[in-house]
Amino acid sequence: MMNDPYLILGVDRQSNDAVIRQRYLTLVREFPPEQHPARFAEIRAAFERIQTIDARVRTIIFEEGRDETLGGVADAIAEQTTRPRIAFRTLLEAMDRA
Amino acid sequence: MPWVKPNSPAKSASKSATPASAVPLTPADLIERAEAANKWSEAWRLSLELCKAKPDPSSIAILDRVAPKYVDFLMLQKDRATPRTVIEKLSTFPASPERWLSILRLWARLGDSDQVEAGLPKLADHSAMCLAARAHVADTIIQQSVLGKRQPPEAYRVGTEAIRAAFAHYEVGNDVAMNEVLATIGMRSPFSEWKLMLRGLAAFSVQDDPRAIENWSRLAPDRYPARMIAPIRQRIDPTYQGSLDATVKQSLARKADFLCPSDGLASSLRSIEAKVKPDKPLKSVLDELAKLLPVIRTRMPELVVRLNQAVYALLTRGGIPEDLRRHEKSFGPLPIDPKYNRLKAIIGESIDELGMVHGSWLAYIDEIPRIEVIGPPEVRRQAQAILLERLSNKLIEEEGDGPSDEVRGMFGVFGLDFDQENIPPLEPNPETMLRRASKLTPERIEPRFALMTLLLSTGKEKEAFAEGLIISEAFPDHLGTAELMADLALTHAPSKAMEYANRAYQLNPLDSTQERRRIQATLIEARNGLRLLEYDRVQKMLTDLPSVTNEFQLPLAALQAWIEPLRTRALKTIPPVPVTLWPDSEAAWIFALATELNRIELPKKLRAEIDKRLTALWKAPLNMIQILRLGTTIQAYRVIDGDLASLKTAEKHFRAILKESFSRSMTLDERISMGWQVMIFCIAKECKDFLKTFTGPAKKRIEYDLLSVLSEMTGKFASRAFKIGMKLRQLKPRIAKLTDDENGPGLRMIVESIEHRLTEVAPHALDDPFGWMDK
Repeated sequence: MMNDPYLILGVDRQSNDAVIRQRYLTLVREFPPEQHPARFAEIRAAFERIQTIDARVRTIIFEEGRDETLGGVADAIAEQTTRPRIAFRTLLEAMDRA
Repeated sequence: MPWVKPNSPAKSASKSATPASAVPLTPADLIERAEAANKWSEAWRLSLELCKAKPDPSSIAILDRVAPKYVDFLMLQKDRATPRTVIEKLSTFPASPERWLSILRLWARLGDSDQVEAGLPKLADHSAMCLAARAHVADTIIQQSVLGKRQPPEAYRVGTEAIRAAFAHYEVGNDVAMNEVLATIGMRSPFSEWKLMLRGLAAFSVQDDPRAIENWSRLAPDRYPARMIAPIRQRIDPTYQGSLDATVKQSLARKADFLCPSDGLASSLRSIEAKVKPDKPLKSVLDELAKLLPVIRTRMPELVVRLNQAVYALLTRGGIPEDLRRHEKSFGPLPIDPKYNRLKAIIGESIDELGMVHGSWLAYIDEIPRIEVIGPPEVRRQAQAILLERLSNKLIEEEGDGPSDEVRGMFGVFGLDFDQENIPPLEPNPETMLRRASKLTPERIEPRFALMTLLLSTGKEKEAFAEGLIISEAFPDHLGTAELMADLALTHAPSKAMEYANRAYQLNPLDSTQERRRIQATLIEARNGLRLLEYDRVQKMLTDLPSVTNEFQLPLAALQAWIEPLRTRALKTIPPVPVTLWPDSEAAWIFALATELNRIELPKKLRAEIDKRLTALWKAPLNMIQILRLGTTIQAYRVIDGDLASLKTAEKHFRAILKESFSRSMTLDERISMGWQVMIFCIAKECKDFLKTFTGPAKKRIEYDLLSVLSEMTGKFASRAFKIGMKLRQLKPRIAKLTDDENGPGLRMIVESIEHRLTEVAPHALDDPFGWMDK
């Protein structure tokens, strides 16, 4: 799940405010906004969703299970399948497909 | 006859309009129309004619816009000759280096390296452009070479063969050999992008996504390698994926499934997802997913939970109650929602079914203590509390949308039972839910403060004050509570008002309303002190106050003036008007002195002298300024003391003074000033007369003045605003008539402004009371 704030920050679901904050600061140092604007925005948004107990409760009650998409599951299926070596002609053929 | 735009007035010119109204189409219009109709040959011909007739930059820009599309069109038709003519003609017009590069790119698209090389000297001073032109040739040559269509020209032979060899190594998994070959291609080679693409492909096939993304993110988006690799890149690069729109993403995902097949499972899921449309039932989608489930369960059991979540999420976005059964039958409930009450509530919210929302969330709240996945017990309690708050807010909002109590009352007047045909109120009510939420999470201020404001809004001031006491103790730094308590304490615990006002001031000293609140609380506390004969404390309290210049100045001065006479019981001597007050303040001063003695509840016989002076005041002839000062002081006491009986008596006397003085002859300025008072004290007839005075250049000033008065007087006393609104409504026919005459625009503006202000503070005064029924 791309949007899971716990996965994005890499913290356990039982983590408390301090642990989450510490992890957030570490990631911000690793991905400062000047050098990694997109990654930083993702980290910041994830942090805002779980930074306090109130935010975490709201996230789990109102958002849990609402991020997942069929496309996401399809990606995961494709991901788990052994990746092929793609022939040049196949690449060209894909470009012509709708 | 020139072309005319379809549907232009000229189309029907022969019937009605004059021929002069026809708008001839310009050549640029005609070209655009041909482009829109995909008539590329015509678009090219017209743009060429335009350039020949008028070879200016704007015409050339049109030609440059049309040419590449025409070339693409011809190439699709397998026409190789005409594109050459097109490009040759393009070259006959003046070209900047940028324009020349575009022309060379077209030659490159044809794979004509000779033409590109021949044209490069014109870009001799622009090495980056030379490289770009060659790179485009390289793109075409590699494709044609792989497809066996032609041999690479000599200048490109080594590079083409290196890329083809590298590809061959990559395809058989010999990445070491591939890298050795790629090492021969420098970063300034026209083939360098192919090198990056291949390195990324090799990294992708060994699951080294960061390295693949790193290589592919350096590709120029308009070059062939970037376009070739886009389907795979979108699968592993979230940043890139985020930059694509939904349609492109779906198309790329399908191509990715073609490039990296996964037993058709992924593509099946994607094709089902493509069938999901807003406002379209999910039944068939759910059936298809149910058929796919056993396959996923067998082959990739670890993804079953994710698929279940994806379907659940689908239902939160567009499900109907019937879909829940289908989901339960095929997938089973998620741990977070074992009985589907949460999903029911979410669906209920999306279809605006308050009864369903209420019942389902309440059932879910009762379930929460057993749903461990939500978190430890304290998190579950908080979840219950947050849901109760959300539910109470929904009910409050819903009630706010319905008719007011007054309107409900009116139904009674007509012998109708308002609630007869309506759903009975949902239980438990918002107050009960907020009390339960407060009990569940006593450490949180939100439900408590929401309860306090709810109690206040429903007129339960005593209960609100009691709740405020609990909050203040637990959360002494909460500004909202301190402010509400300071206001409530003026009525319910005057001795505490100052403490709360000081607290609010300390929490937000930059807010000027806190200063006013503090002064008002000081005045109330000072009166309290005088009642308890604490003269020195009161004296110090008033002396410590910073200089006051607002409407509290006169009441504070009056109270201070009484301290010594009260101490010595020398109440027969009336304190003189302080020199610090404005001239002509005598009447206002007498009123303030009498009011203060009244407020400290001095026995009537002790205030006989000042009461006598006050009685005389109501009968005394007052000049215009004295009347205005008196009016302002009465207003100040409205703010301080609200609607006390003695104040109402004073207002009655003052209205009589106003009525009498309004009949006097006066200047326009005086009339405006008096008009304020008339509006404030709601004297209907004089209001009408006042509205008649909107004449001449002073009208803008009147508007400003009236607005400031309205904003002050309605800020605290919505009931007064209501009365003024009702009066204004009664006057509307008269005002409407007045707006027809020569003063119309100015007056209309003023009345609209007043209505606007009143709509904010007393909407029912102006609205049609039954208007909500039409909503």
